[in-house]
Amino acid sequence: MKIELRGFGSARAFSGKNIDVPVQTSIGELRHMITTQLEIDESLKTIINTCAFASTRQVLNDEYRLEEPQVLNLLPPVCGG
Amino acid sequence: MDKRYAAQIRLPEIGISGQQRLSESHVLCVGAGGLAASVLPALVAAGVGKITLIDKDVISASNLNRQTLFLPTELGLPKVTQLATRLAAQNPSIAINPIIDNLTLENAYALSNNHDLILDCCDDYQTKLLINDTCVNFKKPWIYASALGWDGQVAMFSNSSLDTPCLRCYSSRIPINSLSCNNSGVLGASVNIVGSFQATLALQTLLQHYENKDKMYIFDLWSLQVQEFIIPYNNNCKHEQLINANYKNYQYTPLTTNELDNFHIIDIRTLTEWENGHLPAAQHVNIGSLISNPEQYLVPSKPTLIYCNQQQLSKLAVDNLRPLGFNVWWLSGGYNAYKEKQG
Repeated sequence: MKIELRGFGSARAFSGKNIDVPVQTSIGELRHMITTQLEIDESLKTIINTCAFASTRQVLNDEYRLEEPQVLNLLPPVCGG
Repeated sequence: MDKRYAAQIRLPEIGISGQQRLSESHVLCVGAGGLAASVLPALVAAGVGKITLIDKDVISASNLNRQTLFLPTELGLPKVTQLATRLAAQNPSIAINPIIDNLTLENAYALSNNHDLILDCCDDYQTKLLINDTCVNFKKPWIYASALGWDGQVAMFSNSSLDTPCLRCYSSRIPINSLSCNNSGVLGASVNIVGSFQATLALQTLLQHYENKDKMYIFDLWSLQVQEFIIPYNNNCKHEQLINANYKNYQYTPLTTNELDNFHIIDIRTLTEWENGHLPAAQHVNIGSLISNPEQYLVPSKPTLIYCNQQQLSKLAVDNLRPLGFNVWWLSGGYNAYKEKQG
């Protein structure tokens, strides 16, 4: 099934990228698939490892399993004050 | 009631009782930079009774684009004292208590316990986690906020019970090399928007309006969009452990070298440092790899002792891995202290 990525902030480069994953893929597994299957540089690999993932409605932890094609938001940490 | 509050008292959500509540409230603000420069004037104007400010930093020229209450004539002066002077002039009836210090394990608990609400206006993730863990411990509400580049994040964590979400529930993955305003850039106008939003959530919290709690508000200020995401409680977050989980608890100070045999030992310094000398039986692992793939490097049958040159990075690694359930410790004083003991 197709997962469409939408990145915010430093993860904006992921917006519009798609990745095909099996049903029941966990967010933790998806995180690994993104770094191995998409052509991205090292800095984006670091970002993907620290991003929170969210559906259009709520934050999803690494154990959450994806049941259907959907848009996932990548929310990178922001550390300025 | 002071006429200066008449306009907000007319709001049905505030009224005279709400204004009284604000005047009796004590707020702790951690950080006196750009967010504080936006949040605190709003709280002082609204009549929040007492505000404690803590920050060790001094004013520098590069702060002035966003820390709008500081003047070019104040460079080198402590931020908290100058900010306190401005805020006291703005509303003399408010008690402002400036503390020139960082928030640390030693002062966080005492400070947080004496306040109704904690505002996170700091710019480093470790301090944000310290605020989080302290507030989970004391069941204190706090308002998380960050602004960098064109991006902002704000969330109100209510901590009304142990099973309400916290910052670690939002993300258990902690940034290793956080971008900062100095290397990533930031616009004062963007910080003001995020700060105003944080101030609004702070006042709602003090008025005991919790409808907007436990959501992460994400700002994309280049496209002028704000989105909210519900933060669910994460069963793996182990709030009960957080209560006792401060860095000191996982510090290990070996009395003899033999004691190190009890551990699987990981060295997270650079490869060059490792090649110049390391603890016997230690394994060299890049910190990023360790945190990204802990199962690959940690041995389930033994506790793992992690060390760096001193202790900052090893504490960071432990702080990342403990919430995931790994039995990891950091070596007190790091490799430098170990070498010193060896003579």
